[in-house]
Amino acid sequence: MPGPLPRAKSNAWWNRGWPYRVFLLRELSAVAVAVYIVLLLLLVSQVREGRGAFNDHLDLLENPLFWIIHAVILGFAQLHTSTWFRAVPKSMRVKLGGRAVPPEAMIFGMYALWVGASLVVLAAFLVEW
Amino acid sequence: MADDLQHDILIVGGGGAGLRAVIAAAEAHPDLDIAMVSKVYPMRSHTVSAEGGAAAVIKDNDSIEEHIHDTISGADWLADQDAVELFVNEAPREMIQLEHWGCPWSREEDGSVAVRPFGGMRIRRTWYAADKTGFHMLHALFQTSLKHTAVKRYDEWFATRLLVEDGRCQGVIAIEMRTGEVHAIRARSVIMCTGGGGRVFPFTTNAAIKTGDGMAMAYRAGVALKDMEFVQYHPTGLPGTGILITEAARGEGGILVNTEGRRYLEDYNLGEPVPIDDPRHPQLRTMELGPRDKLSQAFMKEQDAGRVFSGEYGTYTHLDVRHLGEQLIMERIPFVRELAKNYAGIDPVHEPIPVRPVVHYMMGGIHTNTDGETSLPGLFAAGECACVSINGANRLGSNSLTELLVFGKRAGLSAAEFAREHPDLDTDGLEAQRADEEASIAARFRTPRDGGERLATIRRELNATMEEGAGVYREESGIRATTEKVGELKERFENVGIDDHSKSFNTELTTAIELGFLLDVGEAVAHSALERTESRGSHQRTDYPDRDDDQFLKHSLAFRTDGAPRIEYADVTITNWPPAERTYGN
Amino acid sequence: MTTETMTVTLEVFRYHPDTDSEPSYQSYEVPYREEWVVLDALNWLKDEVDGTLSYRWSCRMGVCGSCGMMVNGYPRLTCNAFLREFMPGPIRVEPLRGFPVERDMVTVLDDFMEKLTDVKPYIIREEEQSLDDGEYLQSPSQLADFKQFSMCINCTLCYAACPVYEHEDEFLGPAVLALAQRYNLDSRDQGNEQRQQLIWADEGIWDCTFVGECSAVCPKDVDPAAAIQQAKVEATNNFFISLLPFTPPGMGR
Repeated sequence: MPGPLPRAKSNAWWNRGWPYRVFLLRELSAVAVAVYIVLLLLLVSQVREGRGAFNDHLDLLENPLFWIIHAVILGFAQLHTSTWFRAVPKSMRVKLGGRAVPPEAMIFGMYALWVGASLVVLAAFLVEW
Repeated sequence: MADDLQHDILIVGGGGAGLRAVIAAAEAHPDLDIAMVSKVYPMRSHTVSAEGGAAAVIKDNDSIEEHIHDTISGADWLADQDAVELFVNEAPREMIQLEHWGCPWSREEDGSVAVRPFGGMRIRRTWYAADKTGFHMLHALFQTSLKHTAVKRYDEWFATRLLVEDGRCQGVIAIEMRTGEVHAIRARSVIMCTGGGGRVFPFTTNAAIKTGDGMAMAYRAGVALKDMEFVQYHPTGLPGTGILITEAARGEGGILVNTEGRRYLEDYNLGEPVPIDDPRHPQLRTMELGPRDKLSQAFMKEQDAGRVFSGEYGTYTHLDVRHLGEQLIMERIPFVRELAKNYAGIDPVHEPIPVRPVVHYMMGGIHTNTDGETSLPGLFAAGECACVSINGANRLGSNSLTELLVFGKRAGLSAAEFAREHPDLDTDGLEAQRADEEASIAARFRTPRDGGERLATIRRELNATMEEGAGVYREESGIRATTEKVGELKERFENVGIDDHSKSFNTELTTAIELGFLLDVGEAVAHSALERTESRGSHQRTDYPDRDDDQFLKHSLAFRTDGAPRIEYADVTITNWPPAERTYGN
Repeated sequence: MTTETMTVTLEVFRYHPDTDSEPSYQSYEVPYREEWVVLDALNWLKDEVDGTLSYRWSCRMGVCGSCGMMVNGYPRLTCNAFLREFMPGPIRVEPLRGFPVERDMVTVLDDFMEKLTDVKPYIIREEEQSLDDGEYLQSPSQLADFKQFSMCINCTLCYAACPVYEHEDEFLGPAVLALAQRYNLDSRDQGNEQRQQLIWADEGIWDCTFVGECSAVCPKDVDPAAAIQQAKVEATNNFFISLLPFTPPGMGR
């Protein structure tokens, strides 16, 4: 008598639908952010090497390959941010005056902060010093 | 399988009453060996489907006296008044106990338990956990029972028969679903908590598991089934599925209207309607907050007058809660909205809910006293499968959940006492019974046979004849035809054929055994209804439209025989509330 | 074609522990009806065509938690999965993923039931108040703190959605952790510390990688993922507080 069928374990779980794929991409986004930090550290290290080396490095970054790398990293960063925002209301409950703040309000607040911060950074670039 | 399964107390059924009995026995007698058999995991039990609430006097404006009176008059004076007094007095303590065990009761702003109005009650006294009261009570009880790790649970073991030897109940025979093995579980005392048998009818709020197992097992062991003719139709079920729309929908202010837009209950001696925007609406013990039997009967009369809607799944009227507004609906009756959306395809915030009367509860059951004792020594019963009786001819909404607690506990304690006083079991005789049951199951259901009828055919015919002869309104020729039909079906059932002759998790086998139980329950209902030639509460005879206290202020007792059951009568205990006319309305 | 004569194909997972060495699929034609759920189709099959089909069901109104199955690869309560959602079919019906299979769509729940018991899902107090003193007071706001996590019907759909449970035998899983959190958040309970050892262990909250599908498939909006993340935050706070040489006011447990 064979008995109950043992529980099946499949390594293909990540391909069972978009939620699982997005989960995997979300986890991978940490790698993308790590790569960006390496790139940033390289840039900073070139500053120490002097203006010439720094300019050479900037020229290197003009290469389409780096554009693509940066675009991919930006995409991952966006994904990382939005999934993070979605996670926050699940991880913490905020009460105001005895009433729980609805998740949508928390997420909206974070997006608002994000957009605000981005505008400040953008303004810093656009304004002539 | 001959093995050594033996306990001091065995509880059959893992719903509210069974779990309360387990906890009571385990707390009071930690040295006793307690076990529970349940054909489903306990948290699947039908207590889970109860919605509206559980009644107990707790607020200052309420009184024990009022609750007793509401219950007795609701029962059309067929309740035993000593039992009702005891029940109402013990109810608040039991409910507080359940609160202490974590049941998430809805609350007032000051943190005290909130109560809502319910049908037939003169004062609001129904505790509720939104509209999933039964669900929360069951899970709180089940989870609390897990504290008692010494309690042995036989989950998904299907009890088929009582072990009776030397004039005493000494356990049950049960099929272990996983293996299909037939075991004897011996016990010094047994408590039946298997619920009602609403599935004997075609259109019911009851879950699939409610097949009257415990009633039938006790009946077969010679114990009387009491007041079986009293079957409660809940006035508001969804057409087609029979899914319950809780009385709380009306308790919160929902109204019933017919095709003419009229709140038709005002035509049936249930008082004057107060407009829905009047702060006095809804009025207690009036109109939509009348008792269930009268509301269901009013529907049938509206149907006769042609003032009901007609749809693919029969006739219906409208339960309108729109005026409550989305916020209140979501706070108080969110499950009603979920169910109506899923199973009727309408959103009660914007549309009225189609509803019709639906078989909901059996007032009758295994004849017990207030300690849950039956006439068979060692056998106890509590919950819907038992009949104490506090419900008489019509149960008031929200008394049954409380009943599970009060009488579950009492049965647990008295079964424990019995187990202490009666230690010896006749193990040889019990093993012989087990072997006999195993052989009979094998011969009937594990051997392929040709030409047998399908289970579903017999079940459908049983359902149909029960509704025809023993529905909301009954009369002699109809009931007689039903009794004859049930007799015929019992014979045909002997030759039923099933597809599945294997052992592991054979649900067709258990369905077949359940159908056998249903046939016995149906027989007791029909014959008890035939003999009661009066109208009282939920038992309405068109040929005997009046209540007849001279002849029938009595409980019926149905005893199984080889032919038609023998119906006897027992006196109703009257203490301080002499029978009077039942009146409702403002 | 009229509704009367329309049919739909059900591809049903079959496995019998007495005879089969591996599972197979069997196709059945069932009548299509607008208001039928997958469970209705299975019941029709069992009644009329094949009595050997095995599955659990009871309340048919989404509250007993018995009838969870994979419907076209997604965990669903079959009493609440309408045929019309899957037309024109075929509709594949399988047992919930992640569990051993007893027979056909009947899963083995031993592991779930054991873990449920392990987290002590009941009120724990140093001393129970006397019943004579009435109920424990609990404001609606305190009730709201745990109410959502008390709505779990133990249907185990969340386990079927959880890749961690699929791969980690010891993981307590979404519903059980949510239930533990339900009691930890209940103002009447004092059992937090007793539950911590198990909940804060690796096989408790820290095995969870926050895929979040448990909450997506939950038919009762319990949001077990949220319960677990909240417990993680609490455990983390507790760790840092324990590093301090003093207990900040209001932080002591």
